[in-house]
Amino acid sequence: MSPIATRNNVHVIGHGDKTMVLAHGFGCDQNMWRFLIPMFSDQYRIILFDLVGSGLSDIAAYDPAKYQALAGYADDLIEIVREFSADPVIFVGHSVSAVIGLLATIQAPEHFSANIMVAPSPSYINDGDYIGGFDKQDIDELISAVEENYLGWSSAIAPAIMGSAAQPELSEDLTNSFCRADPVIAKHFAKVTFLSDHRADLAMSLVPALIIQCSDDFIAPVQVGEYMQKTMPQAKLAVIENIGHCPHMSAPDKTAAAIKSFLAVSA
Amino acid sequence: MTADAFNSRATQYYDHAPCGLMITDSSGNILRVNATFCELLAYQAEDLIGKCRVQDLFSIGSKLFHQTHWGPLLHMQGFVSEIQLELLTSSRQKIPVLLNATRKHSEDQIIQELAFFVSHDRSKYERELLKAKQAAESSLEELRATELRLRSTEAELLALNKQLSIEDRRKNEFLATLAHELRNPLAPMRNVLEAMKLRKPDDAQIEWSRQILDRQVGHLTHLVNDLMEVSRITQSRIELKKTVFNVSDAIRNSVEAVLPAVVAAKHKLEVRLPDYPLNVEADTTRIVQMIYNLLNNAIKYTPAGGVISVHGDQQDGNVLISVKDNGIGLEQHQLTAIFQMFSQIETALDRSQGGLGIGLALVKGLAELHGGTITARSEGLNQGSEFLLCLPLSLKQEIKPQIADTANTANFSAGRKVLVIDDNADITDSLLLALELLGYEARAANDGLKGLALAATFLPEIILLDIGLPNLNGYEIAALIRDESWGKNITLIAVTGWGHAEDKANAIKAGFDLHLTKPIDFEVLDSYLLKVAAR
Repeated sequence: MSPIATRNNVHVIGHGDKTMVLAHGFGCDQNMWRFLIPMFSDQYRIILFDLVGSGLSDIAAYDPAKYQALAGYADDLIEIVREFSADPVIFVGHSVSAVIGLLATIQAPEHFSANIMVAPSPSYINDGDYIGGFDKQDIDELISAVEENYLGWSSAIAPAIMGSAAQPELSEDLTNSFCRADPVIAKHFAKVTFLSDHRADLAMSLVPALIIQCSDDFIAPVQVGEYMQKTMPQAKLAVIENIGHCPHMSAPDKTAAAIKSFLAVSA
Repeated sequence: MTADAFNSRATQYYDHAPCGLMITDSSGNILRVNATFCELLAYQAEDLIGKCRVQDLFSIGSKLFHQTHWGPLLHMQGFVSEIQLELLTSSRQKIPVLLNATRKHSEDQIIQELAFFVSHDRSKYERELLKAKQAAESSLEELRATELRLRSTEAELLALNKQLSIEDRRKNEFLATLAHELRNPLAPMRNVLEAMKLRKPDDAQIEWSRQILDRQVGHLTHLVNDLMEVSRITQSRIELKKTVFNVSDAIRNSVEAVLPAVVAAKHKLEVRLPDYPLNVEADTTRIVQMIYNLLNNAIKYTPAGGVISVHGDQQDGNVLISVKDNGIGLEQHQLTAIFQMFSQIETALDRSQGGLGIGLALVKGLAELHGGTITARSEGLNQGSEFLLCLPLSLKQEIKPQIADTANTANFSAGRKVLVIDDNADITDSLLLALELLGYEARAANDGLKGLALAATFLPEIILLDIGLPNLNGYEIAALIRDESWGKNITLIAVTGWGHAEDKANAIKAGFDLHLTKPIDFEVLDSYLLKVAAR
């Protein structure tokens, strides 16, 4: 494996002329795309990876200085695209990765033909007229929730003690790696993610974009999707009926349909 | 138990289980909830069932954590266990709980089964742990920051230190050059004085003036020599010529040298030396220089009519030389500072007497070079002071040097031809004067080639040759002289301001018979020429 492949635990699957890159959000890893992949893998070559510090990425590569801003992750994404795809890619990013993708399309637009943002938010904290959904205090509460849980998590969650026999789609590998992360990194990543403000970057991305907004998302409220569409010059908005922040898991069919109809006309 | 009774027990057990139990649909809408859960959060079951989602009962932090972490995990994995979260009661109180949950297909829909265990104590305990961890982390961070600061301070110090040592080296080079430059004008002054002394002026006024000049030039020469010596020590360019000798002799020599000053200041001088030898293996000249400096200081810093005592003894394998006075004394903080170069006693009776403090710095440097120490003691201002020089005692026997008989100088020098080559007219003039008075036939040239031409006709037996000449330097001229038939066997003496060992070695290599440092000590010159003549 190349250094970049090792660093980001890159996997390439599927077949097709076009390449699609899937990037997971905060708290998870590439396994979260499992429900969406079957709907694309027969038409697209799919690049999967873990953000450094998440999943099975190389924890040793986690440099707090590099990753103190999302731009550090955007640099990694551009490197991955350069190494694994000769042509521009369709980028699909969930939550924080949607913003990472946004930054990458500004920095290296030649590598991206489409930017699909699943449940994105450019800034989580309310600010004047802008509704991000949270106050600073709420974010602090999340950070301490992350911290309290990680106190015992990484060891408590890994042994799959119960019930995977009832879930045939699960593998041993999955239970052992999903959501696994170093507590210090998880806390740092939480701060970087939820305290970032990339509203000013929205207008700078000229790659055709699709914002997939859930009808009921506690983390990215509908107003955020609307704000983004108004601000981004090349963005379409698709609101899908879904409760929660992970439509690609809880509503994979609707999510795939929105992506496909966008790609049919835009990329 | 009948089936009905069992079912009723099971329902009761479900309702009043020692944990909150709940069933939701895939989005979290509450389908069923037990009494324990409702009591815990102070809700009626009908307020919850079909009316709200389980995540609505979470604190904001727990809600976020649910959305980003264990919600997706439950979806993917089918279960989660030991999730810590906070539930909100109907009056918005937070209750810490541990959650185990499963997600499964039941008939035609997906349901989630959740079990909540109150974890007040565990939560408190873990908060404490977390606090301890955070405290440890922040002190670690502080430590790191401190280390970082320390490292940058160290780097700054290092740079500063480097800068300082460069400055120090420049200073030492400057002092060496200064000492050398100061020596040059001293040479002709000394020569003139020597000449005047030999001529013995009839006029008492002139003789009085000559004596003052003689003393002051002597002081100045000493100062310059001290400065030169100190700069050599600091540049590690000093070479000790060690022999075994009795320190008592060195003390007597030094006392003789300062006697005129003692008499002039109307001091009383006491010398106490043991009747057994105080042998040291050391450089005689330097030991005399040290004792002389200590005595000179005592004389300078004691008001007229004082008492100065010199005492030599041995103790614990060391030779102790004490120079004590009842003069102006020293304050506690001055006791070590005075040995640093340029330190000057602020309360010196007369600033002009204070000097630059080279003398004591030189004593300290020389003492250390000899493996010895110098310390100062004083009871305070106006309580006098004592300087203790301590040198390692040598168990070897003293070898008395053969002293050349210099009685017949006049006879030897009569009519002998000496050529002086030096570009400084004052030096040549004064040297010619002195040499003629000593009975030599002397001529001079102010550059090397002129000197060479003159020598071919004058045929001198001795040539005094300056090294720092314009055009061809002294070494080159020496080589040319040695190439001439008349120059092969003559006595060739190098005369320079530079008195370092390597200068002397260079001179010998270039064909010189002797190397003399300005100002020329005529006694040394005479005794050398005498030895040459005796060969």
